[in-house]
Amino acid sequence: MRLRLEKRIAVPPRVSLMVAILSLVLAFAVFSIVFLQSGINPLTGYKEIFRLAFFTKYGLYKVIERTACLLPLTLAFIIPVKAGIWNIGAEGQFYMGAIAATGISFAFPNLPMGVLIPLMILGAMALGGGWAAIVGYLKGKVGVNEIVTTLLLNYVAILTSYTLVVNGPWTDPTRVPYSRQIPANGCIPQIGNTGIPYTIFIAIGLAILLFFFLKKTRLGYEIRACGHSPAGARYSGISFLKISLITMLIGGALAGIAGFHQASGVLGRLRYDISKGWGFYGIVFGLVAGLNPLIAIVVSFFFMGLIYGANNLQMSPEIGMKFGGAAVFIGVMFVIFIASQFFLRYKIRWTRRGG
Amino acid sequence: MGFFTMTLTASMFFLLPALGELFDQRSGVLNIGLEGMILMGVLAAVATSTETGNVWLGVVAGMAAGGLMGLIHGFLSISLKVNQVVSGTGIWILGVGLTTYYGLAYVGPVKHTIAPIIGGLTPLFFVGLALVPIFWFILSKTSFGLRVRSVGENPSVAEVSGINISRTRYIGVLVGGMLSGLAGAYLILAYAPSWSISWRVPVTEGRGFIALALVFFSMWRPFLLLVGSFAFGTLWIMGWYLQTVLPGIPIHIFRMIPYLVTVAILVLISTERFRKRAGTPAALGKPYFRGE
Repeated sequence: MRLRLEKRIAVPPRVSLMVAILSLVLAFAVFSIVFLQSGINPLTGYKEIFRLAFFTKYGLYKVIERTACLLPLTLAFIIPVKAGIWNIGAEGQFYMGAIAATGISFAFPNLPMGVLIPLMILGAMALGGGWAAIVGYLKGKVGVNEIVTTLLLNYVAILTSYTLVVNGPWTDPTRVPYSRQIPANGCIPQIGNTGIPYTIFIAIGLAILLFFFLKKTRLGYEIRACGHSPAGARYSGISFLKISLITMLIGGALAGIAGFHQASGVLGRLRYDISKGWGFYGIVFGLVAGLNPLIAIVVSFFFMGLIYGANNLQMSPEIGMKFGGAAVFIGVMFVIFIASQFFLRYKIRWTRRGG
Repeated sequence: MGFFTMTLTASMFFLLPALGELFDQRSGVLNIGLEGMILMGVLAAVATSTETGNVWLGVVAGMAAGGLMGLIHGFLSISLKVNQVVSGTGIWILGVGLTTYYGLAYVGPVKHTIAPIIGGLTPLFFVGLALVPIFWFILSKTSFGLRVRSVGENPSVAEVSGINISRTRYIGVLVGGMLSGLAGAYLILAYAPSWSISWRVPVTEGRGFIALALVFFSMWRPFLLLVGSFAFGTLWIMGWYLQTVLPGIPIHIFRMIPYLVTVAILVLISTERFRKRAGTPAALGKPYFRGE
């Protein structure tokens, strides 16, 4: 008997779900070490993570608010990678979106909300998309490795926000590392008193739209063809430069919307630490979602819930200040979910030697 | 410290992880998780040297921690055949998570540091310098180096000629991780001995990514990598100097220069003229699946 790997052609939903559940159980088991080190019963810890995130009103609203940010960031990874282009730059595109939105609100503070907010969204999409399109152009035209360029441009974008808000032209003299507040007409309203900005509907709407875009349109087909076989796509007359430019433009615009959401809908200003590495979370979420925009809705909601719960365990009366290991929780969970991809892509078979 | 010494010190922090990455990539494995590995090296080095009072144990611990992260990257991308970019991203986030949590106890100035021996340079600097010809020799002149390169170039042919692909690539990620860990130890024990924790600007300041880009710049040749590292060390330190000369311009503009210059160079070496001579490992980034 010997072990043999077989590539799966399609993954049955039942298998995906099983793998996801087992990954979660394994991640919880591994992370229990950190809980035990802090003198916390792991079962209490996990119960509290779920309770804080999904079973308290305040937590649930917060998780939905963060889903509105992470979902477009996840889509920003999914669309280019469908064409075989690795956008590791959602972080920088997110910053550029936030910068554009904030800048437009400062430039036209007296416009009515109905004009200013669409203008800010368009600006965020344009700057985020344009920032990413540079990479798309270089990739398509010259063949520059997009992974390296997106990583490098992230830092340029982050440093741009530093230039603007840390002793810069936008600095709020009373809150030094932050920008001035975005004028009230530039802050996208929130649903009732939930604290969730209306951007959640934009995010979910985009996910649905992109699902059908990839599946049903000619351009969507060309994108998938490029991802499947770049050479084959070229022979059938698809311009790789065009696909590279368009997918990066869409990806960057999506990340830009997330930047708009965070600046206009959540913080009401630009901060140099506006993202906590969320642009990179999108890569893992996209992968776990099997690059499916609809499943990405569920994945980003669920993961942001777990992360929110872990980050806020201090609020739990049963745990309190004893715990600060949320960053480790995220790392462990991500690595295990990444490893689990193996079982989605390959089938393990035992075969008789020579058989 | 003079400008020249500062430049050399800063250059070494680009060279060490980049040299490991070069080796790693020659075997066909791309590792974008450099930053996470460097941070783990920083944490292990600072924790071990603080607890034992011995800086050299700190260096060894840093290398071990980096190597361990390299093996995790290897397990994901070689054994489980996960995409190397995704695996690297996971390694990076894990490294950041572990260091922010377990590093809390060591925030502040580092107690034990490595003293300079000649001209303000520490022994680690000379170790790094010596590694360049050693890596060149191993990669170009030994049969082991030939095996590493053939695995990065054409794994199916390499396997037919009796080379164990997985084992060779595991050596690649291990070496890459150990040198990243060494870079972390160098950073915290010799170069900038103060440990602060912030996700946005960790002690490494994103220089792991410049190191990654430098490997492409070097066209996978150790001596060109040395040149590139010195060029970028100079550029990095120049930023701080220019700021004192041109106080009107915000400092962060100068900090952008190395990243922008790297992008420009990448564009240049990707053009037809250079590409032919570049020698990118053909199987870089691709998991090996027998019979494909």
